[in-house]
Amino acid sequence: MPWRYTLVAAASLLAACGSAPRRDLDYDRMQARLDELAADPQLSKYATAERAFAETMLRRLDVAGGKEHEQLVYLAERRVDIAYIAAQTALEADELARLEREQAALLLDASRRETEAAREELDRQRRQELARLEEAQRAAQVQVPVPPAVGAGLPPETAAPPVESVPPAQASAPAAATLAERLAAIAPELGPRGAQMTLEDLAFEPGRATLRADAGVGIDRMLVFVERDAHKTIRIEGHTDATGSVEANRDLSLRRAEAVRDALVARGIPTERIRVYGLGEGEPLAPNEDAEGRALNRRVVVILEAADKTPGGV
Amino acid sequence: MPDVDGAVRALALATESGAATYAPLELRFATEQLDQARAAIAGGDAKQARLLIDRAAANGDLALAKARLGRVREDSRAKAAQIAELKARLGVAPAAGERP
Repeated sequence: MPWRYTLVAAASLLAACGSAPRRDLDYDRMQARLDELAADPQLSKYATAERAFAETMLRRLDVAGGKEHEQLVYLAERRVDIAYIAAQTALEADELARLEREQAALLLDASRRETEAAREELDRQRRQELARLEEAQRAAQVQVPVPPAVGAGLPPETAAPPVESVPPAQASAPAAATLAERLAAIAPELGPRGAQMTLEDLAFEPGRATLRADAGVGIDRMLVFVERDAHKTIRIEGHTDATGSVEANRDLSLRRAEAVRDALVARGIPTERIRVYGLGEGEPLAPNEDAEGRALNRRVVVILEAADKTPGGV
Repeated sequence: MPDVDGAVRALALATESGAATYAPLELRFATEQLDQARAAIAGGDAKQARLLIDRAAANGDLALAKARLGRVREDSRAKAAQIAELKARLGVAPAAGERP
């Protein structure tokens, strides 16, 4: 009977309508975007709070109807956008932090390079001035005869009258221009007997054991150095080059070491902490064949060592 | 009575963060919706006011998010440019895929 077929068809249609899933295209679209964000390898770890807020909004949307549904679509749309943007912001902030670290490392590297270049330049100037001064002293000795009673048997750097005859404006002025800079740059280093600082011989009046007036910068640097380990003994070594007699060199080196000691004592370092040694030409740093090597060998070294470690000083 | 203050705070924060530059459209929507909400309150329509305030707050939050992203991206670009200049000065080769 036809009416029976019609009834079955109508029932089937109703059943089909009842079992079909409800389709909300807005919900599906926004849920797909959130799923995409959660699966993104770069973004998924960020903005969890914003994503949770958007999920909550979507759940409310899923059960809402009528005018409330329209309002929730509007709000959920923006919450999903905010979740995406917050994740991108966090990713970008990580990148910015990485760039800041890279920049800091580069600036540190640049600073190291500049310091190294400045140190090399100061060292070059120091050697140049030392060599120039030595040549000036030698030239002056050739021009001014040494009185036998004073200069006989003494090395050039200990023979006071010839050295003093060097015109200060010619011999010392160029060195004085950079001496304070160089003395301000002297730094502790690790030597065979411990931490040490070295004072170049230009800090002294030529051929004498008297500290120059502008050597105070270097003495102040040494003061800071020795004060940092107040429990340690201070060993002060004087050294000369190999020009002249062994005895005269030992005498000059001792007197220069004593001059440094006196300067430190005048700045408040207890005398009993200090031992001075005149080592003469016995421990050269460089060959004595050329002016530059001899200049390096003429020095006073201040060493911080454990108390009562080395006997024999003055 | 609907709470206007929360939406006002969201809007102020977005404005302070540079939303006028990075999210002008969202900022304008939020401002207009807030004005409409105030008018609805004045007219005694609390339900409509609530709806508009929620929308204004959502637009304010979106504007704030966009402003933050815009600023951090700008900072990153500036930093990358500084690094490139520094590397050029130091003679360091730029890394593969480095931003210009």
